[in-house]
Amino acid sequence: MHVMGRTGTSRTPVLAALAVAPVLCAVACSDGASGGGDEECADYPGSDIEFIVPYSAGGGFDTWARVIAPELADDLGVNVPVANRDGAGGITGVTEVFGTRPDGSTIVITEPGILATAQLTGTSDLDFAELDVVGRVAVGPEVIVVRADSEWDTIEDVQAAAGGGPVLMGTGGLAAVNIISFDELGIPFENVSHDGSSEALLSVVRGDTAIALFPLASVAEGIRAGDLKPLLLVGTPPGEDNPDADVVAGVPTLDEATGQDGLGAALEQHRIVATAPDTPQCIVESLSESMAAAFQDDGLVGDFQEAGLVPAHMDAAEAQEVLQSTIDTLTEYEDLLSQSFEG
Amino acid sequence: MIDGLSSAFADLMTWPSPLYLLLGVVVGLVVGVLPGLGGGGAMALLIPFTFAMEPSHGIAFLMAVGATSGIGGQVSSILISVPGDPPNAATTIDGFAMTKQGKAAEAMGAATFGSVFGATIGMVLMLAVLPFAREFVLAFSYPEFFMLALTGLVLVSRLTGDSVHKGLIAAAAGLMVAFVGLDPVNGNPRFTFESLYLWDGVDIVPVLIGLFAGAELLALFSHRGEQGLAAAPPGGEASRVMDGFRATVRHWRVVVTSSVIGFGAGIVPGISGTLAAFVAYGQAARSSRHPERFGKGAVEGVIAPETANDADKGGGLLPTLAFGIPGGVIMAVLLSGLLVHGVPAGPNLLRGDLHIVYVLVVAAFLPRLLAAGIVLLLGMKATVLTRIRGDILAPAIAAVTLLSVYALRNEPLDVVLTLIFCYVGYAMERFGFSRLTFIIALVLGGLFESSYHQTMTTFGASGFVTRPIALALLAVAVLALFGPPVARRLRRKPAPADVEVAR
Amino acid sequence: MSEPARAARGSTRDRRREPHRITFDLLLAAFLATFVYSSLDLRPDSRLVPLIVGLPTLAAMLVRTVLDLRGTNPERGRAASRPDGLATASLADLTRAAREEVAADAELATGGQELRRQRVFALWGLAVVMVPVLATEYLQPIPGLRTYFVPAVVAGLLFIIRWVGMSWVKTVAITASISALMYLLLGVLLNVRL
Repeated sequence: MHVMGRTGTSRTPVLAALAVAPVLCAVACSDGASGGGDEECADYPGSDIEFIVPYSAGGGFDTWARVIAPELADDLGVNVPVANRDGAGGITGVTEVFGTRPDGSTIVITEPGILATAQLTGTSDLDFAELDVVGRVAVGPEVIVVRADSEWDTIEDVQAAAGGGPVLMGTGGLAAVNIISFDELGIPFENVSHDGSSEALLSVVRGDTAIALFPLASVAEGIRAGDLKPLLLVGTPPGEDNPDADVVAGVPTLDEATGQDGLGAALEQHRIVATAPDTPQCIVESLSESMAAAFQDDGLVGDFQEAGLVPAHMDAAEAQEVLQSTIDTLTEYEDLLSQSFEG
Repeated sequence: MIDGLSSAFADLMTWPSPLYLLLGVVVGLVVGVLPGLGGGGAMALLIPFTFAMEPSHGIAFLMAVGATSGIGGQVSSILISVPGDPPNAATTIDGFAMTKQGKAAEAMGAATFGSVFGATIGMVLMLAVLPFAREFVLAFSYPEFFMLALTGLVLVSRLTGDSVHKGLIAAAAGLMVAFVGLDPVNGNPRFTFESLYLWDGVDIVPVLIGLFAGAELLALFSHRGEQGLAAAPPGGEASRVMDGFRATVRHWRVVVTSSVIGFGAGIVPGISGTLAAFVAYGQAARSSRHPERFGKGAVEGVIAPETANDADKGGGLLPTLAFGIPGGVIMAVLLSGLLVHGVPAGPNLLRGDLHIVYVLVVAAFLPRLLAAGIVLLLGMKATVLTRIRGDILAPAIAAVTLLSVYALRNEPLDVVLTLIFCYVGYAMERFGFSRLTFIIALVLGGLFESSYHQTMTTFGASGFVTRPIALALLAVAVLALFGPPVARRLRRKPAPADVEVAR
Repeated sequence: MSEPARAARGSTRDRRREPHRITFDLLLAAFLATFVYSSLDLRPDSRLVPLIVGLPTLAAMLVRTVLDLRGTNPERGRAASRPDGLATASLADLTRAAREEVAADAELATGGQELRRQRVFALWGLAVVMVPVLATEYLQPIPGLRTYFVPAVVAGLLFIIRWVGMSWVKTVAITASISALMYLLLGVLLNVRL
């Protein structure tokens, strides 16, 4: 059992909790209504912090949460259990956290792009910009790929070919990044949806679809194996510390291809951690510092590398800015997005 | 290849690896027994548990959990009629019928040996195809997936309960439920009635558990009352296990057919185990000389699905090894487990160091032998469940099921859905609508529709009839649909007389 | 059992259950109609397959309902003697046979005592699921727990085991051991927060 202890997550004493529940509730439930004040900050964190992953277990977001949670737990001195709460493409879990009490007791790992898309296309009525962001953990560019033996060697080849009609794009469900990048590149496409990135990429390898756009981490192995060929980077070129940097070395970026600075940065995949709106500033800061400490921790860097993760930390204020600017950028494409999603 | 396998075997037998394998087997069996919480879900929950282990130990542990949960799942299917995992659902039908006849031990013996044979044949086929894994996997595209779904639907729609009329209605209702969620063409919400919960569609686990467990639990509580499910068989349980083994050997044709079906279905992403089990069950019933015994405790009805859902894991390894593409939930979680341990699983796996491949293969196989041994030794003790008075067992199972279903996704509405389908299952049973047909339609509906649209977009309608594998599958479907009546007409033989089944 | 005998048994059963059967038919038809109706607003691509499946089935379901309303039993003497080739399937019979067995169980259970137990158990299930779901939605959370399922399950077990006639001591002991088992499996082993 010591193995589990290391993760720092809680083993909820279900029955014990049940026995003392009425007593605790008498205490905890009554002061729930008090507004944000210094009192809350002094006590923070008084109890466990639940870390919601709005996707099923086993993916990138899940891995990040499970690597960071124990570090937060060490730093804050409480348990940080991770709970998967998947649904509606990552919206269900965030919506749940959005509605929790603003006391920093629930945090969620998410991505600005899907939040912006959800609110622009009417999937969600919430304004996700109101979320209090406590930091960014990572950012990764997306890559446009074709089959390795495709006749297209550059994105210009695709643009030229697209004159003859839309290209078939394999997706794991249409996302804003596909719609906006291809619109800006002037490449009309027909979407062939799949159950996930791996099936979509396999369709490109089979030659059943012509092109795909996925995060670098998803396509890197395929490129290395000689199954896929990268044409364009959507986002910032990866730094040297990224083990996948080599497979996209020298690949042009969307910003270069379209002449629009900062477009790629708004479309690439940021992974941010956030908590309920209107959380007292001091709690947000406390969480932000705790995350920052986690990223300075020597042991954690090793864990990152072992788990194949490339950290790109930002503090609360900067990360809040990323969320806001992503929403702002995507709002410029509101018509295009709602058209593509609703026809 | 033999060298590779034996060195991988030696690796896994070097202390303390066997300890982790054994630990994984025990955990896998336990979570397998829990209704709803299957291998994939449990593996995901256990990934953090492996952070502190050596990578090879962690992988062996996770693989052991994933590989053995199906064997645990058959125990709950047979003993309490609650499928431990979707691939075990088909086992419930005849397995639980056997339990009610006091033949639980025989059913468990047959299921366990079926699993072992299925796993073995699946692995042998996998190793035989491994050199051509890329070509094999690439040969299956949208038209083939569509035909696989169609064939599965046709094979199982023959199990139509009261009448063909009602069977078709049940199948269509299952398809309609499968269409709930984001549509596969544009990703627009459909039939979600403004509820985010329905966006991802109706999850199969709550439906399955509700349908199969509801009616049985109600009967157990109200009808059996103070009695247990069955009395102890004369001569004790242990002797009956060997009956199960002999039945498996006697029905070697079912074992072979089911293994091939399972292996083939392994290539279908996402739903392979469940698909394999249902299709194998349907095929066994179709080809049996006494199909009327199915549903009443036919031992082939236990052997077929359990053989197929283990053989399927051999097929499922192919896309994983060749392209790093998971053939199912368990492989998906395993891949991310590999990643966490710094093993980049992807298309390079087969081209690079083959050792890890062989370790995976052996680790997928070995734990199931261990698990089979444990089930045979200890699982029989679990038949004591069948002697607990029904009106205490039923609420206890209901409570355990409720908590397990919730634990799977932290979603209270999943529990509500399970409850709804308990009532639906009871009504369907009572009014003669086949639950089996409904559930297979639900399982296949998504694949059916999405592969239809994918084919139309990429190949056009001709894609269905110009590709050899798709054509072959279509032929199977047509044969399954029209074969038996035509054959019977040719033979001009009356339907076989009812066979009294020992009760 | 011979085919006519079985058919005869079936038809007596059917007649007695007529009201429930028709309620279920209507519910099923309503379900299909709702889906077909909401398909109409969808984009052509999205509604194509649902309509192909839904429309004929809705028609079939209405036919079914009319047949059941008229008390006709189209199953009588079906299978091998049915004229259309499809219905001669040997498998058309096989799960029906299984079903009859369960139905026979249900038949026995319709005696007064069993019927009462059926209702109690069905309502018990409803309560044990719905009360905690609603409580979780509308009440303050219990510290350390995500939902009210744990207290509801414990209370539910205490109630039902006592109801079937166990002594309080045994009731508490059984409930405690089930709870402890679930705590070990889910709480400790899998580290799930319930």
